Order: sequence, then C-alpha cells, then structure tokens
Amino acid sequence: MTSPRRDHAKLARMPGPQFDREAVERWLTEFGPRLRAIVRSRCPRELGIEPDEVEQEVRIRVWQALGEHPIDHPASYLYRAAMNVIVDLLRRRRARPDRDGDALDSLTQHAADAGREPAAAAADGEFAAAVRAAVRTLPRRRQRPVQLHLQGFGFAEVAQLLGLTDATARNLIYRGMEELRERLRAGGWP
Amino acid sequence: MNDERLQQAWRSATGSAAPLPDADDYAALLDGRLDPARREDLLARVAEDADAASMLQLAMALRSAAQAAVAPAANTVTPLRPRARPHWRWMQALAASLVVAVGAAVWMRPPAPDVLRSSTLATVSEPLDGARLAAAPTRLRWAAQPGVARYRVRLYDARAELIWQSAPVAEVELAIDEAVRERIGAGHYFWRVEAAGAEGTGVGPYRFEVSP
Repeated sequence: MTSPRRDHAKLARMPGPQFDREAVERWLTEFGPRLRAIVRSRCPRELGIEPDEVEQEVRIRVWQALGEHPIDHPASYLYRAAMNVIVDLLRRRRARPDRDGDALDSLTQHAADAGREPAAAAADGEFAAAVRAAVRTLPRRRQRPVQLHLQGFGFAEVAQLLGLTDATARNLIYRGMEELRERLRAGGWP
Repeated sequence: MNDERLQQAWRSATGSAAPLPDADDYAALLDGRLDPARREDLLARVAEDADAASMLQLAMALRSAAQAAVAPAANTVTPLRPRARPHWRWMQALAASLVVAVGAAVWMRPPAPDVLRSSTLATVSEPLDGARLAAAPTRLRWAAQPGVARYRVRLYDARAELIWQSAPVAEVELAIDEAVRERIGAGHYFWRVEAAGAEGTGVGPYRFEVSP
C-alpha cells in the first residue's frame, strides 16, 4: 500500500486529459472514510472484504481512468468504481479454492443460520413460505412496495426506486403490511 | 407479528441461482438510465432476491457517499434544517421540524411518520424507521454521515424524555447494553444520531415500537 504523499505525487505526474487532479485527490480523500465505513457496515467480515483494500483499488481505478479518458461525472464514476471493486473482490474470494465458497455466496446469508435446530429451521421455512404466498395475494399496487420494504428498503428508498412520492410509498407500505399481517393471522400464524 | 420477523422470513425465502446483476446495472437503475422494461426486470429481481437487494442497498449507500464526497457542501445532511433550494418536500421537513420543536405533546402518542422523519435523504437505519419489535433492540445502526468522525446516539421514550445517550463512537452502529435494554419496555421510542460535539446536526429521529 502506498502512502498518501506518494499517491498524490503519482496523481500529479499522470498524463492525460485536462483535469483538475487536485480536485480528484480531494474527492478521493473525502470519499475514502465514507467508503470504508460502508464496507465495514455492509460487508460481513467473513466475506474477507477489507475496507482499506477496497479504497486502494478504487484509487487505482480512478488514476487509471484519468490517464485514459476524462471523468465527466465524478460522483457517478466514484460509486460505480467502488461497486465494481467490491463485486470483483467478492468474485475473487469466491474463486479461492481454500475458502468456504458457501460463505461467500451471499452478502446476506452470514452467520444467521449457524447452529440452527432442524425443527426451528423447518418452522421458519414454513412461515417464510406462508409470508411469500400471502404477499402474492396483496393488491398489485401494494405488492412491490411491500416486497422492497421486506427486503430492507426504507420508505424514501422505495419511493425513489418506484418513482413515487414519499407519502405514497409510506401509505402503500403501511396498508400492505397491515393486510399481510391480517392474511397471515387468518392463516393461523400468531 | 412485527416487521423484523416478516423481513427475516421474506429474506430467507427469496433467492435466485441466476448470476447477480452487474454493478453497472444497479448504477444505471439509480441514475435513471435503464429503459422501462429492463428497470422493471431489475426491480423484480431485487424484490425477489435478497442478495440482489443487498447489492442495490450497497449501491445506494455508495452513491450517496460519492455525491457527498464530490460536493460536500451541497450534500451535507442536517435533517432538522430545510435545504436551501425551495421544494415541497423541504416544506414538509421544515414543518415537521417546527412541530417537533414546539409540540412536546406530539411525543405523547405515536406520531405520524411525516412528523418524525425530517430527512429527505435516503438513509437506512436499524431497526428500520417505524419498526415494530418483539423486544428491545440489541443494537442500533445508521448511515454514515458526510464529514462526521464520531457519533452520539440519544434514545427517547414516547414522552420525549431522554432515557439514554451513548458515549461518542466512531462506528455507524453500537450495541445497547443489557441495563439499558431493561429500561426499554413495551411502547414507542425514538432515537437520533448526532455528530459528537456538534449537537443539533445529525439524522433522525427514527422511531420503533416494542410490542412483545
């Protein structure tokens, strides 16, 4: 890993299009801590994705891109670069023969299922199937907002993804979730 | 039957053997560059596949962080204050802030989410805003805020009484001590995350209900 001073010197020496390289360095400096925090909070430790490694890879890709073409939309470029780095690292980890591939298949299935009793797992599976079936019976307009909410998206995020106002998304989710509960209770689920 | 249980059930039941969409697909979705049919396909995949959903949430967090890094002044989040550019959503946020500031009585009962949620920025909290929980949460998590090195969390009961505040932490999550959890019985609660040393800025309040 290179030092920030050497990184900056390398950036300043780079040939390429007319571009404010100091601005790029500022963006990278600002983005770095946020990127590390996101990786720490969203990538389970067992996936082996190191925040510093991600940040360094993003820096390298931005430098390479600067030498090849102008970056017209830096914010868009930064986050796409970060996404690509994380996806590439996940694939690289998955390809390692000495690691447990199952543990790398998912950003979500980590540790949660470890040590589960078979009976409890079966009961959870039945409940999950009931939830899935009940969601399918919701009015079409509420289905997608409810599904996204169940995947962990907040009201504002659902609104953004579906092109709704915040109030509309919130209303559809509230009503949809209440309806979902009613249907599950009617099906005998406490 | 709380949201948390339903979310766990849904996420455990959704998955796909198909390869995950490319990172560029998520970016195109968030940037509005997908045609309607492809957009619908991708949203359907996200709704049905917990891994795809996690990747999209990651993309949204990274996008927000990148925008804040490139234009920090324009993207700094101070949810209790309106943004500079007039917009009807900001008027909602301003109204909500005023209501929160002057109406302690509002806290006496479960308020409408419009009143509580003063941020228009997409943030993800854990527990989710408005979550109904079977027991006191064991940890709180929030989105990293631009330029904030340390956070302090304040937890309030339904009467807006401060019942706990954390020491400053550098991480975007913290565990709730057992002693504090014992004080979180059935009822409505609210929590805010503030930049340590800069009270008045931050995110929230978020609310959750404990309903054993």
